[in-house]
Amino acid sequence: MNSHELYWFSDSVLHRLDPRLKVGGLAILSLLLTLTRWQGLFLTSLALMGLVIISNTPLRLFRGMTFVLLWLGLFYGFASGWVWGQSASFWQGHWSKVGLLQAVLMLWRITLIFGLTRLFAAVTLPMEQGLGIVYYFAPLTRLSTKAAEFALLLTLTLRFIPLLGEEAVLIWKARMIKGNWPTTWLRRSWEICQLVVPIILISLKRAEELGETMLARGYGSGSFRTFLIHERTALDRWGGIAVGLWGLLLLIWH
Amino acid sequence: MNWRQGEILALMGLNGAGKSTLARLLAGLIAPNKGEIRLRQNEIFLPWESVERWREIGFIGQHPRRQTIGATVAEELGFGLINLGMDQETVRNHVSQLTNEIGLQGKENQSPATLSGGQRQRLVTAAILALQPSFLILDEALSMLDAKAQERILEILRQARSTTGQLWITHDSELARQADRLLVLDDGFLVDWGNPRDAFKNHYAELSMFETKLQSQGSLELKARPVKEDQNPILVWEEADFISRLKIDRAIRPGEFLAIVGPSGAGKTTILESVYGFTLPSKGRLSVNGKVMNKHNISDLRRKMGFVLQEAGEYLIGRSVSGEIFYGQQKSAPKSLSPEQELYLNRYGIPAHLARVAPERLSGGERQKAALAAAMRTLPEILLLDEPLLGLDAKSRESIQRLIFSLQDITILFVTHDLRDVLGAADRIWLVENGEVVLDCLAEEWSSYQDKFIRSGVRC
Repeated sequence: MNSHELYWFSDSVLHRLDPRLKVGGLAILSLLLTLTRWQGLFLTSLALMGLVIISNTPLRLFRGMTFVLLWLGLFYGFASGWVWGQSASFWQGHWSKVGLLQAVLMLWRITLIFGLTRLFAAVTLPMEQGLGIVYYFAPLTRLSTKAAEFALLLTLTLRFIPLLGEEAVLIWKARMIKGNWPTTWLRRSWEICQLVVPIILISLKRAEELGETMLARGYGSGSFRTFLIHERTALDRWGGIAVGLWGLLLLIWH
Repeated sequence: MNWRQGEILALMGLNGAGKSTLARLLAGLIAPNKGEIRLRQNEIFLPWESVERWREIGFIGQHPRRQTIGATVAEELGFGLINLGMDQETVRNHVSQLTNEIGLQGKENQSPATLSGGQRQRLVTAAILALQPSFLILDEALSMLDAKAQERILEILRQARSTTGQLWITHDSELARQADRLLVLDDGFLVDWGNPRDAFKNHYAELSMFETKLQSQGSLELKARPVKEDQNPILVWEEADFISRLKIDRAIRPGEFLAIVGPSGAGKTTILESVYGFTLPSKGRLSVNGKVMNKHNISDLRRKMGFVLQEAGEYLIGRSVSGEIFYGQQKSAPKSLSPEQELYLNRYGIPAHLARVAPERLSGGERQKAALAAAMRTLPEILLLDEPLLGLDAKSRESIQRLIFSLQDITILFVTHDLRDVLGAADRIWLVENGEVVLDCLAEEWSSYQDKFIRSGVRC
């Protein structure tokens, strides 16, 4: 098994980086990419290619983006590349070189943001992604207990989603061993609807178990403490410096 | 009842007797309607509600998969410690020490999902014991583990014995004998039998229902299962490779009773899932009744099979017991069962009055019987049983064993990590380790390979 949903199993440098650094780095770089000029985009393209190689992820993981980018390219191409007068009809317009260049730059930006996000998902386990996000909520808990509740909710949800997935598969198997799987789509849809009740029942049971497990280990509502204890290594420090430099260059070229 | 620090209590009782309810009461997850629980600390009695219960009492459940909460091994171990208020540096040091103690060093940044059931349960036990609770409840926490994994957890528990009172809820009389005191719950009432070794010796008549019996004597008369030696094999794996989880090159004859044993995570369930077509070989092939299984003929081939999933009682999807067993046959819920249906339920030891009851209301043994009855409804030629006796008391185990052993003209694949469950009924035994069948022997010859089975963590 090489992949699980969006995650690609490997032990590369990127896989081993602290999820907080990956979440923070992705957020900052994505933001700066919306500001930077072509020099920044060029640097990021080279960096992204390098990261893909380092991460041992195959290029086919990024294939899914092609279709969306194609449509976005068409949209931006027409939106900013096609110019027509105020009182003229649409078909009386003409292509604009500046507008097309703008569309190319926009598509380039979006491709890079999509690419970085896809790479992030391929090298960070879903639970780690959540923990990285939750970590940035921690300071907010001093301002309001609502932030603590939200972080608790997020942690529970993230822990619960894979568990729910496993339970849904088991319910599905329980149905399959009953046989008589219908051949028409209508009947199949009805059969799937029939499984909703057992899935809800088992979800409630598992949610209760999960809540009890967390409570039994002292996890109290309103007193949120992130349980991320990934030890920061030299690798993380170098990663932090690299992201900092990268961000600085994007800012300089804005 | 009273319970002292440093004392190990074994709690036994039939399915549905109230063992888990007692555990949840003690852990503070539910409150008593009457009476109270008090903690004596420095000669002062404190009401249970006023105590930080999660610090005083740890709770470990049966299923390792449902008890891990951390994204990594280190987070799992550190979660409670952080909640205790320790600083990150101290937590890191503790975690590093704990991973060494439980043999998971080097796996700190690994997801608990990548660990075996035994390793995962060890991780949960260590995470709870790290909080240094005065008391620890194990609610059938060892029942899903093979003998080797069980022994490693018992070792951790023995080390914690001087500082922790332990309550072992179990159906295993051998495990109960290792405790200091035996408690038996009978229909909600608690009886203290004192020293368990003496109790089992002096009061055998009263306690024999909890004794794990060897079925070999009782089922010898059922052993007249006709194996059709002259017929072609019903199942043939030809150099089949199931995404590196299982590599197999074997055959099974019609009517054969095959016991599949091995440690947790060895690939036993994958063998059953391959037969049912839940997973197809990436290399090689599997033939059922001479037909090579592929995605086009799976549905047809499945019609000849029955499958009882692991913990089948947890995954009953019918709205009622009859709905579960006769799934798809009843368009709308009938007010009463037909005589044939009633007879069918009786055959599987399910009284007719339970037919309209929701499956969640049944005891563990009744649910398992319902799952078996549902699997047998289509008169399968091949019956796949994945640990069908798991979590059942001795009485329910015996009645389900009798049901299974009495089935004639059916090829049975029975997965277990306790060889005693099938001795006397099985024709052949496969020992599975690391995704390969490492031993294939006749059931009569099992004692010649006893050392091998024990080394592999199989109880025998």
